[in-house]
Amino acid sequence: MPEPAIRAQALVRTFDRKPEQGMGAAIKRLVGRGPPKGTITAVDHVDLEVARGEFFGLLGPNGAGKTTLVKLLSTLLLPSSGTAEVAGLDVVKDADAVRRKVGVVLGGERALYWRLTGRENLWYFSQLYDMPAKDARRRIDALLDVVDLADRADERVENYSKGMKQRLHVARGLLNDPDVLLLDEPSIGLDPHAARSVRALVKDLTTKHGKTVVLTTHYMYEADQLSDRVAIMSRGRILAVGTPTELKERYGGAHALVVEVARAGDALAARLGEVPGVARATEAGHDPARGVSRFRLLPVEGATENGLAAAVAETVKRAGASLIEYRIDRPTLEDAFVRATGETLE
Amino acid sequence: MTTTAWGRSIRAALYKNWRLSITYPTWLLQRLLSPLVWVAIAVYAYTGVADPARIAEAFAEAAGTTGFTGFLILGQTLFSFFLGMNWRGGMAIQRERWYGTLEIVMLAPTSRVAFILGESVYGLLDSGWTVLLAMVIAMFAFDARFTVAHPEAALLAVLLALLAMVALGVFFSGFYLLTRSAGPLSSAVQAPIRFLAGVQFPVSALPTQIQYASFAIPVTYGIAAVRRVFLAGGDIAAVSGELLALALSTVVFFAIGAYLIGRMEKEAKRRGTLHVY
Repeated sequence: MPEPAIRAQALVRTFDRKPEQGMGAAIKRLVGRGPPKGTITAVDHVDLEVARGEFFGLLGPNGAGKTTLVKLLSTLLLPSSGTAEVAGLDVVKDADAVRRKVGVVLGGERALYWRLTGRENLWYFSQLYDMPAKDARRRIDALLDVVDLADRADERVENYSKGMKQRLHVARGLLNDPDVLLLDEPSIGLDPHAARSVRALVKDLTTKHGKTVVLTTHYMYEADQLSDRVAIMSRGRILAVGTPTELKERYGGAHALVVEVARAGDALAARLGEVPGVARATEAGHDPARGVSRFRLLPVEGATENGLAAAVAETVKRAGASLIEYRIDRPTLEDAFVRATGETLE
Repeated sequence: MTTTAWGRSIRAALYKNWRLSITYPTWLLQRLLSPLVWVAIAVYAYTGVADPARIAEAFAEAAGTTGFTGFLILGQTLFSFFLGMNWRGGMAIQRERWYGTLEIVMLAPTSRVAFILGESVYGLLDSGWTVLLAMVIAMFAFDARFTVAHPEAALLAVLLALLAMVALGVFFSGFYLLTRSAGPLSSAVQAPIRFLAGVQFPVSALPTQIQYASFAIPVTYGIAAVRRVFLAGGDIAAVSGELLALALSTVVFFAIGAYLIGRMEKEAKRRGTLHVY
């Protein structure tokens, strides 16, 4: 069996809880009345294997431990316990060699020199990666084409849109032609068009360039569309791993209900969640032009559709709202996530 | 890591800093004005209380030279180099934190010491031409005269003084990392070093106990050596003590700095504070 691109075993990362700041807090600590010292476990006994050439999604809400896991795998953090290997190399003992094999794209707009041009940014990092000048120039030109920034390469990054900065991040992450690319929330904060363009770009990394990609996201759609396999992560732990289809089948339940309602009040989602036979109800969208809100309901196992429909209609009516549409939908990855973790992705 | 890789890291730092610095042209004003004004303050502080002939006489007794304007210019020149190192090399890690680029720099498989060395070398070149230009202006403005009787001694004194400053930059970089307070610390060390190194007066004017602190700082030896060869025509033998002290301090500060940088990177990764400033 070929060696996996990434392997983590019982990987744990804790952080010291930061003490409360200020003179009052200092005095409280001095007299023994401060909050107890402690640790926060950001990554909690994670076992993980990612195959070579696989597109692997890490799906979880903010604070699930996804970024910490990426930082552990990329040598930016030391594990508290457990082991992790990337491309067969230990992230602690062989940190320097791991850094040669891995590319990392951290989300957000920082992590670039805004007063340098896109090309100058790439040139600087190519030299830190010990690339001969001629090879670096050729590689930079090729990558600027891949990320569709060739015609804006000589403009300062401060003039780039968020999407362009993110694409430049991807180019920087690929400079060293890494075996493994770790992408931390690459589409966060992007408009739909820019997010689509970044997704298309990163999908190509496995399909056209044969890279192993690990993508962290809290966008269900992104994980579903891009990933060969997805790990559902919550509170530092990986709760389930599988293909999106497997996860939907395993955790998504038989079906979900979509209810469209006019004049829905603020409390309607909570009231729908209390309907007998509904495990969870969330507001899934709002169309202000029509004044219509959309709710997604996950039935408990064994709940009958007819009984539910009547109870939902009655609840909507009692809330002073009007039921516009009631339909059965196939379970999504988000439904699977909600059932597996008991949390939402927001 | 190979020497080629070190070279590329240093070249990368020079390139990045040069490209960034040309986007902040107003810094030039400060770099040119500051050393000139400091020299002028010191010159007028002396000439304001006594006539130049009496000052020259007093300087000959206290510092072994009558050329007190040259004495002040050389002191300020070396000190300005120190400031360049302190700002560029010492603040290198902290500056990347400000830019938000420290983590991606740390992701590169390059030597951290090479990275900081590159920043220091840039500081040397960047402060070099502005400081020298300012000092040439000061030379003409205050009629300073230099007597270099032994060019080899002058070359060695300048070279070792600059190397010691670069090592000091690497040391400060590691030292500042200990506290995550590079900005305030880097500002805090400037005035004491200006005072202790004898930038504007002979170190011999200080009480003996304070002189012990003066001679723990390589900047003091650099200034002393350069003054002796440029003002008193000293040869290598005349400055051998200072040269030895500069060479030793280069090795010691570089070694401590390199150790601290490695130690602090590990500690920051253990505590998860690499990106925090």
